[in-house]
Amino acid sequence: MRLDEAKRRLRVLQDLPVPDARRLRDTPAGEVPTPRYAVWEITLACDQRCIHCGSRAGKARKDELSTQECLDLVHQLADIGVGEVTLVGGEAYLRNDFVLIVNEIRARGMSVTMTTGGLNLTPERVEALRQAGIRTVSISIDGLAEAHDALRGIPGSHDKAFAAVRRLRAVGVPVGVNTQINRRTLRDLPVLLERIAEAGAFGWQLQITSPFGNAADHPEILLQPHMMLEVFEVLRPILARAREHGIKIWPGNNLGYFGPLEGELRSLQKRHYKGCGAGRAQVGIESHGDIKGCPSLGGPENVGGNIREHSLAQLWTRSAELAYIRERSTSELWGYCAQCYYADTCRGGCTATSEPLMGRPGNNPFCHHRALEMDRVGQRERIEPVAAAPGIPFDHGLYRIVREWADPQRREAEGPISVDEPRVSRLQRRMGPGTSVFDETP
Amino acid sequence: MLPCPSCTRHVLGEEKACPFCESPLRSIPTQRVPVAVMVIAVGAVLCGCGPAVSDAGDTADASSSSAALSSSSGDTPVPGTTVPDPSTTTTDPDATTSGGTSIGDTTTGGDSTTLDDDTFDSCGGFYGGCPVDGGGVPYECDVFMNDCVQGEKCMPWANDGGEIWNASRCSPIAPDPGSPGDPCIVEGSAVSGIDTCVLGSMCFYVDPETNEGSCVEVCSNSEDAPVCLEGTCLVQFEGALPLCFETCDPKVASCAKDEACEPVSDEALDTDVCVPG
Repeated sequence: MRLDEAKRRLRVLQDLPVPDARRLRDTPAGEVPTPRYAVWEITLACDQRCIHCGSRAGKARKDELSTQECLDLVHQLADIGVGEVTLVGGEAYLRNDFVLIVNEIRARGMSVTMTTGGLNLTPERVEALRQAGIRTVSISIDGLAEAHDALRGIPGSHDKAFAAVRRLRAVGVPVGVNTQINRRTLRDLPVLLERIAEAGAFGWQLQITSPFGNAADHPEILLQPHMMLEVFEVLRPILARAREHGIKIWPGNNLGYFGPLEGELRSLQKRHYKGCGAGRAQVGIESHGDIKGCPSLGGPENVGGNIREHSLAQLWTRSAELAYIRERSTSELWGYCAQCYYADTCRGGCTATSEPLMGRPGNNPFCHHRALEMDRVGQRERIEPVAAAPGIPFDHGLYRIVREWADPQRREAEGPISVDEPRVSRLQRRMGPGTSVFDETP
Repeated sequence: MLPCPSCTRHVLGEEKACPFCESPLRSIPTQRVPVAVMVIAVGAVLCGCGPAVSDAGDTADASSSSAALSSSSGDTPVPGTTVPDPSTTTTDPDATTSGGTSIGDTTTGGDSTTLDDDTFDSCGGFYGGCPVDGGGVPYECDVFMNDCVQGEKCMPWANDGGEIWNASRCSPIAPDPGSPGDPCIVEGSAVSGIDTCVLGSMCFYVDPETNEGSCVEVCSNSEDAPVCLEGTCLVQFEGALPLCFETCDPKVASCAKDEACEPVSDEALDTDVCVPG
């Protein structure tokens, strides 16, 4: 289907209902919650080659959903109570029917947004998005030009991303920016904020690079856990400056937690982190119809089934994979997180960060509180690669956490204080803290 | 969980002192503290980081959890710190104990609570981006209908970090909540949407210095046909703040002894109401 053909099929924007994107609270414990938010990878095709891409996007999957299957899925999303859908890829705009999907989502009374690298977000595509009823677009910009272009693998992609911001603003589509924080981008953030403000973005989503997909192959770009102290020293003035610009800071699920800036960082998210929402209020969809709780995690631990075999309602209510976060407790925590002051609220933070790192959720060293408490007793943590990733979408390798003295001389003289080895996956032991991968007998 | 007013670290309810900076923390007061007379519309412009108070969601688990963690400190004993002995975190994969106290017992174990389940970050993970209205769609629930789940109430609040009510949210109902007219206390600020008042009321006339105020009935039914059990409904701030007030005649001393008759208005009404004075 050509883009102009898709545009001819769009409903008139003014005739579309007001989106019911109101966020409702979850149901009481023991009842199946209503997913209010969906993240939908509509294609794995991508025009960039990001070395931190979690889905290892590039070529479209062979069996991606057809236009009709996508439109049917829109109705299923509405029927189970979803209020907002974010389209991602790959690059969502590489499917010309993406505007039909946007339009259908709006026609069913849901809100629709899109996250994109913006490399080839042409004027035609921007206008089609506007006509289809897109609510906002978030452009991925990872640092200043040198870092961004290196991470995205495309020279000039930084400039094109900003061009996309301006293009969207010119037709009145509100634009946010999302940025990954890693060793290549951390120092760029203050200047990047100024550029974002100049470009007219209304908000800035920040997250740390997680070690899954292509990022698993690049430990050199990953932050070290002890660097969370530095991350928040960089963020402190940024939070104040963003307020001056009127830019709303929106931390991703894996940025925090519970340091002295937590309340300010999450001032728009009810003041502090409240735990992973995968399978509780949000559902993830892969381009060939796999349904999962967390949009950023894949594989058999997380995929509940395929939309071609079961209805979305069935998968949401019955699949054990989607129910994991609903069922888990503090009993799933291990290592430092098991004994943390915030264990019951935080529960190990972002699952899409801890599981790819350690092979199992429940122990997340990328935590401001944890880094602060380590620092208070003269210690720090770092990660070391243990096993490589196999090289498929949303895969991961394995790392270990080494706790050691912060003082270099003492560290050199005494060596590690302790080591958390990676643990067996949830395929081997679905619940509980699991055991070290090195303790498992064949 | 509330931020410590001294160090801004979040602290579990029932803590007598901040485990991070040792600053003493306040508890819910029992006496109503009169506040200065204010026109209701101006009353919205309240700010200030208030003292930490007990949170309905943080139950007695907090103190026991804290105690267990305090005993788990490593080399340097710091109150409430959470750097556990490495021996409990690395060699025994099933280790969930510290200092002889089971963490699994002191926290909630397998029973995921409603509070935890329904208050996670919205706007999933990495993708959602910042909502254009900053904080998701502002009306999470209907203040008039009170359509939150059991144990919660729909509350006006400021979702943009500002000082004006502009949104609604579901908030936990405090244990032993106060009825309209009772003293109350808010979490953080007057516009946080979290207080110690009963379902169908909210803490108003808040003193920004103490975070203490009085419970006021919230209008019910609908914005088009608001209902008050007592008084008249005034819908302010573009519908974000519908409250019931006792109307009065400034020429007649009809308000209670510690109240004053002040003029107020909204789009539909121009009247005088009793406010604490």
